[in-house]
Amino acid sequence: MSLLEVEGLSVSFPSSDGLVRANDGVSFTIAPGETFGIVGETGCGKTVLGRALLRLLPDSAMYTGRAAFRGKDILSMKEDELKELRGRGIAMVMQNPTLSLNPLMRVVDQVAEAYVLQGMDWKVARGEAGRKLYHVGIPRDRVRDYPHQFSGGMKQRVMIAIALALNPGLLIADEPTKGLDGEARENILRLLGSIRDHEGRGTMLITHDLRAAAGLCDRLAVMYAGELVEIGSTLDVIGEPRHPYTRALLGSRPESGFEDLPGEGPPLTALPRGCRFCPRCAWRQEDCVTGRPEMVEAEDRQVRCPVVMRP
Amino acid sequence: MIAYALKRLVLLGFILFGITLLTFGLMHMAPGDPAFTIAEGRYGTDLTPEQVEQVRAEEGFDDGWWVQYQKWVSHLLELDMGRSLVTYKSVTSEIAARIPYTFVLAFTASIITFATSIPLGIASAVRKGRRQDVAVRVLSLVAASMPNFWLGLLLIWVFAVVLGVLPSFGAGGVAHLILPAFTLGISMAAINTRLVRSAMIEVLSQEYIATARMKGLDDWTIISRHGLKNALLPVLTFAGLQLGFLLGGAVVVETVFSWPGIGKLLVDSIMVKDFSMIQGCVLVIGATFAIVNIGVDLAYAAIDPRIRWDVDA
Repeated sequence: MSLLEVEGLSVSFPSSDGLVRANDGVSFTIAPGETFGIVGETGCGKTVLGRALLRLLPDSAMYTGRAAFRGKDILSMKEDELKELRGRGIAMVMQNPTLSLNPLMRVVDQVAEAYVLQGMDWKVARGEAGRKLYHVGIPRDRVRDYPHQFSGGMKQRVMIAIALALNPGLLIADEPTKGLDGEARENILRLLGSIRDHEGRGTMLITHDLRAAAGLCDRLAVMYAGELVEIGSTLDVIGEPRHPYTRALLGSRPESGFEDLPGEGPPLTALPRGCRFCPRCAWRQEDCVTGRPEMVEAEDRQVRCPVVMRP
Repeated sequence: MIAYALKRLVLLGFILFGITLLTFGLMHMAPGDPAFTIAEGRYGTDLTPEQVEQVRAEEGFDDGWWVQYQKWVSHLLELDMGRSLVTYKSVTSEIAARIPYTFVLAFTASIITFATSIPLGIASAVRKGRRQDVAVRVLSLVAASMPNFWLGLLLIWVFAVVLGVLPSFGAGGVAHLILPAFTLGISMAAINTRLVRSAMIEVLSQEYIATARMKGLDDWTIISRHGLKNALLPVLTFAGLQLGFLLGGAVVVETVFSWPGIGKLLVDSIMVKDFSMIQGCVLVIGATFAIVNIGVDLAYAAIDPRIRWDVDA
């Protein structure tokens, strides 16, 4: 059985600019032990997807479709079921550790809280928390420090320690390398690689950093303007990208000489009627603007582009 | 933390020095001639200019201001603030007799304020936009808009005149404390409730609250462990100012209820132009205000580690 099954998930919010269609018909699965990457530009709806799976979005968020964790539908869960789901079921390494850690609480206590939730008393929990922090690379004499005393990379380690301490079935890492400089970024990627659990825990890595995703994930999904446009094994997607957007993304990587993708994604309040990538697409055909393309599946690969998938 | 506290205490020293200069200066710039007032006390209202001059020379009012200031401060350091121009009682002992009343009233009012504004503010923030929130906001707006003297008279009318259950003025047992304390407490609680509410709403939208929810904590733990301390930081500044005003004598309320605190003493002294008593009151009120606010600074540092480290570094 899949750990996580997402089927036709759509998430939208009302806003002053109209309805924000942050996710639209998103479908994918994550198996136990699998590391699954969601890759896309900033603002494409990746973070909303991660937060929707924990129901951390504002009350105004509207959901349709299905998202099931271990067979239980997340979207219909009540408060007490959500409390079970959060932490023990799904934990998240939150984006921006500087804002995501409580500034008035020692980091060891912020980790220990996860163990207290699992029934330990505070004293034992702090001991465990110290070990977990050491495990992610925080020196023992720093555990009683406050978040503002740490660098961005160190705060991200604390965030990872919190998520791991919750001992979740699925770990979501939301842009874990965003805002980090070269070396800190490499260290966090190495840490994320070392904590992968190939047997049990699943991992969902949300990132705009294609190289990070390629190095860590078993499978990749590429997101554009709220919908997934390509899903496949990392080797296939990176080695032989099919969707024009994936190709453009790979083209804009430094090692391919930064062939920048012209233009920017459409606002999620005013999506084009046909293919959402069409205005920026090099493979554009006349009929691309009329109907919304469906996911086409072939050889373990799903691509939302009839043009490139035509035999 | 210790270095921070020491720096604050040094600052307090400078502030207190400034307060003595200002108090002294203001009294000398104030209209009215203290020599005249003293002479009136001694010789009656039918004064000759010679009698006034004699008093002026005896009291040292002819010396330069710096000499007078030095003399005044050196007495001050021995806790001697001179004698009342009207009653000839020692200013120090008169003020010392009033301070306990002011302190009791200030602390009771503060307890009433916090015991109501923190739970109400939190409840309002958590149920933002719903019926309880609207009710709290309307009530607090009404209470905050009532002038103290009017609220005091209203409470006197209800509880002393109509119901006859509480005394309307003076000091005595706990019963005398209730009306003035609630008059002050209600109006401060009204403002504080709104402050706590907006601070809590702000905090609840922060990412670290999302982290707390992600962990699977229940609402009560999220609010008490992660929300409250953060939300109280902005409230603390205002609460410090309020306590400072209260300890400096709630002039209006003490007057309405004839509560024998330092605020009432100040008003009475102004009425009879008792310069040395006014000077003493202003000095003590100013010093209390400064000390309370340094206390607030220290409380900030105790709660917020970012302040401790910024200053130590």
